[in-house]
Amino acid sequence: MTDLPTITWGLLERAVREAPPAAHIADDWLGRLGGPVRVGITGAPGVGRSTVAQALAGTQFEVVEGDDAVRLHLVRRPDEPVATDAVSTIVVLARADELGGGRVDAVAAAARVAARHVQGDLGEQCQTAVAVAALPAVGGLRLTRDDAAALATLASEPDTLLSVDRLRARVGDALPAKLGIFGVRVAVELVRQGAAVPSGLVHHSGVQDLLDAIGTHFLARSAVLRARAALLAITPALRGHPLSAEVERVLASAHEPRELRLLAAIDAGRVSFGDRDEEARHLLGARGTSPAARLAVSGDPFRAHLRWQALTESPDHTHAEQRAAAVVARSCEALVAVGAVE
Amino acid sequence: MRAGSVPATGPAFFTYPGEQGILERVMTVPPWVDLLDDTIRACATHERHDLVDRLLDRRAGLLEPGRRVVVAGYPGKGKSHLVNALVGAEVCPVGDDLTTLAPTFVRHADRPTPVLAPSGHSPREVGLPRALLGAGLVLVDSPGFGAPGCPRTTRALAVLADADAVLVVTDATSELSALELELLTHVSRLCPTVLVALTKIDLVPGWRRVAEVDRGRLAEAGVVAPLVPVSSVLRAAAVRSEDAELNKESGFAELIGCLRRDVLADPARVAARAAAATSGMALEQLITPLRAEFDAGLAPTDTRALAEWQSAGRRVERLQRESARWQTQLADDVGDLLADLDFDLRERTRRILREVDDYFDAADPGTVWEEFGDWMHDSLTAVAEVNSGWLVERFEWIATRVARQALPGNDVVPNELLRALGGSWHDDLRKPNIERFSPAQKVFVGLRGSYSGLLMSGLATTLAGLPLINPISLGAGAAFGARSVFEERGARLKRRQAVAKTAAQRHVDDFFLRYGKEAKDATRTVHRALRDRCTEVAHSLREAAAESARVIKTELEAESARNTARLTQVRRDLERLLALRTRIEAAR
Repeated sequence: MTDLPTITWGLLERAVREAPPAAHIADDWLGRLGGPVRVGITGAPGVGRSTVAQALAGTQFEVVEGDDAVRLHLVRRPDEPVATDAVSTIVVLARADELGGGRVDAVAAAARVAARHVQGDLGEQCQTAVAVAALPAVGGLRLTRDDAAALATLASEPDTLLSVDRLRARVGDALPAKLGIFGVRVAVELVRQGAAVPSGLVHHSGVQDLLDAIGTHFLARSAVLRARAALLAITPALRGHPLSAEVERVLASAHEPRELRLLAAIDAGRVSFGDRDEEARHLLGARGTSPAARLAVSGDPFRAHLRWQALTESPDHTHAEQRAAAVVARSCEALVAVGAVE
Repeated sequence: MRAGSVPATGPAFFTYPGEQGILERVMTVPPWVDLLDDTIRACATHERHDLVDRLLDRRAGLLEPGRRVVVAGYPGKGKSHLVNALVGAEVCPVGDDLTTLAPTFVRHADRPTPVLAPSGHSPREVGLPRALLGAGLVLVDSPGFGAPGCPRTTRALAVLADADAVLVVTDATSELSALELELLTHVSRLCPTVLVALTKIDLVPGWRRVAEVDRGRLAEAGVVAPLVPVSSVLRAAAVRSEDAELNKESGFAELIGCLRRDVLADPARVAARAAAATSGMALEQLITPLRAEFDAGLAPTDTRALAEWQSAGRRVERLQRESARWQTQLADDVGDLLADLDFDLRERTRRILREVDDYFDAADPGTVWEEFGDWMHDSLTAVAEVNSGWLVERFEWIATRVARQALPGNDVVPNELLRALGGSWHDDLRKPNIERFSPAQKVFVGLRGSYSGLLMSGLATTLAGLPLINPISLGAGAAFGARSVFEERGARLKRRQAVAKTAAQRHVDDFFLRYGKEAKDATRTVHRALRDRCTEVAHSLREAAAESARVIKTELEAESARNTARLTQVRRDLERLLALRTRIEAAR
């Protein structure tokens, strides 16, 4: 079995040569497949796209406001509808501190809310959902000496932290504008504990969780996701061209996106094979996509294939689980083929 | 009831014996009840039992003591938190996610009644000893609005339907959205006493700007409601620490002030406004269809029926016109046919006569008469057949043409009529008197010829001295006799032929006359029959068309009469409802 990125490379090169209307798009994507991953940020106006973009600056991937091959979709509430391509989307519960009323544990509470929603309907619309309060993470990196002094003062004045009005009356507009009341509360807590404020803010703001999620869901499988995005991008320009049917066939039969969806479902707890979950994760490539990494738990691919194939017809499992087992079995099948070559 | 038993709270100075009952009713039944009752009656008259039920529920709710203030809004705005902060107790569950699934009614009670864990979506009742509640306020925490039509939204709307006043909750983290404004517009139509609380002001530095923007949007949407910025967190802290300063900061002092001023200061007015709004909405539902009906009624009546009637009239006229046309055409056609028939017959008989002439120039009628008679009979029969066949064909064509015009759609080609066409002809050729040249006559003619020959040559030979009867004269006599016989035979043949020709001529003339007459008669009869039949059908068609036009006209007239009656009724109803609406508007 040839993998999706390789097939896509071939198709794009053919499109450049054979399909003039799609040529420049295909050429553009050929260039992009080799470059850094670009993560788009989408969401309603006022949801805080640019703050999230700032919070993600300086990472090994590019961040662009607007849609891209993979995207973070920002929402204010976990029950907002998300109408995008699930396998290339992470939903970000932006301004998560507001959901929890700006309490110190607000983002953690919002993360629990997000996790609960991912188990349900939200999980069908994205790979995962992360709660983020981006403002404190961005502001934490720009704290001045005065800000630090103000934070130290505030540590002994809990009443000042009751409302943003009191805070502004006490320390001026700069600090609340930089961190928000939630950020100030967390920072004061960090000062009290004697911890490092900027990194603590990044941690408490959920930005680290977001980076982890991007790493797991986008960067680890970026080749597959970008190949898929490239094929989706040239599809409209190829309309009517003989190549279009082939692109459609490749898109419809690509197995990797199904693996990614199933991994997301297992992670969210929407699908479970009990104690076989870990083996399924390995086989699906969560711990590395090389045949050796995939087979680290299972051993012989042929036996693994037989075991998972049996699950697809097992009456002890629900229809959804049987379908999920079929996806794992298909991954095993590919591994059997690779093994034969080696 | 006696005057002495008037309750202390009653309007004693209005009361005197005998009228106390009436006055008590006047004083205790608020005036809006009459309006509401009139509306209920109007709904019942128009058979809107759904509205009647809703209004009766509303009436009962409004007559209850205590004014219900429903706290409504989209999820996550802090509604439950606000209720808890208002009463200073954790009576409604709060959480970071969708928490409130069922409404909670918070009323006054002398002792706190235990909060029972809600089972499913049934409403919860909580009692608390609070001055605000004791003043006659019932707080209702409602589930947040969701997508239109989802069960949560339905439950939230059901709670709103019974509200005397509504406290719409929005938060300072964002400006009023289009959806929230829509909800506010809806709420203010449903229940005119509306307050807006802007929560989470402890969290957002720019809440004053948000409050300004929100006030602007409210004014733009035409929603008359005070917007009070509040912080439930600060209020809760203030209640805990009994900090008056903090309480003021939380904005709840102002919110409670607003509630007291707008709801508790004149609860009867709040109830009256709510009743007026509900009645107004119910009336609107009655008026809209009536008005639509009235407007439709003013338009010209059923245009389709009118068009049908006009087309029926046109059809009658057309049928009349066509009837005249096809009758003329039929007469013309039959005239042509008769002329053609005459010519054809004459042509054919002439041809026969020419043949007869040719034949009898040679043949001797005496010998071939029988044979000739048969031939003549056959020929004439053939002529008659051909002619009548041709006639039938032509007539069929004419009849079809006429029928197509006179009886459109009626496939009545009167075939049976055509069978009567053509003439019958049976006469045989009468044999003329053909004189035969009998041997006796031959002898006589021969003798006469030979006598003169004998005499002539005898006389001549006597001059030569021969006797009168000598061989020469005898020879001449014989020759003369033979010649006479020969000549006589020829003359007789000619005469016979002439007689035969004349007889044939007369026979053919007879045939021409008799057959021609019969054929013409038959044609005329059939023509008449066809004409009568077509006239009859056309007449019945005309009658049917005229009848249908009459029926349509009658229906139209009846319909128009019914419409007029219905319109009058609708107008009366509308006037009554509009008058009631004017009264309601005045009560608002």
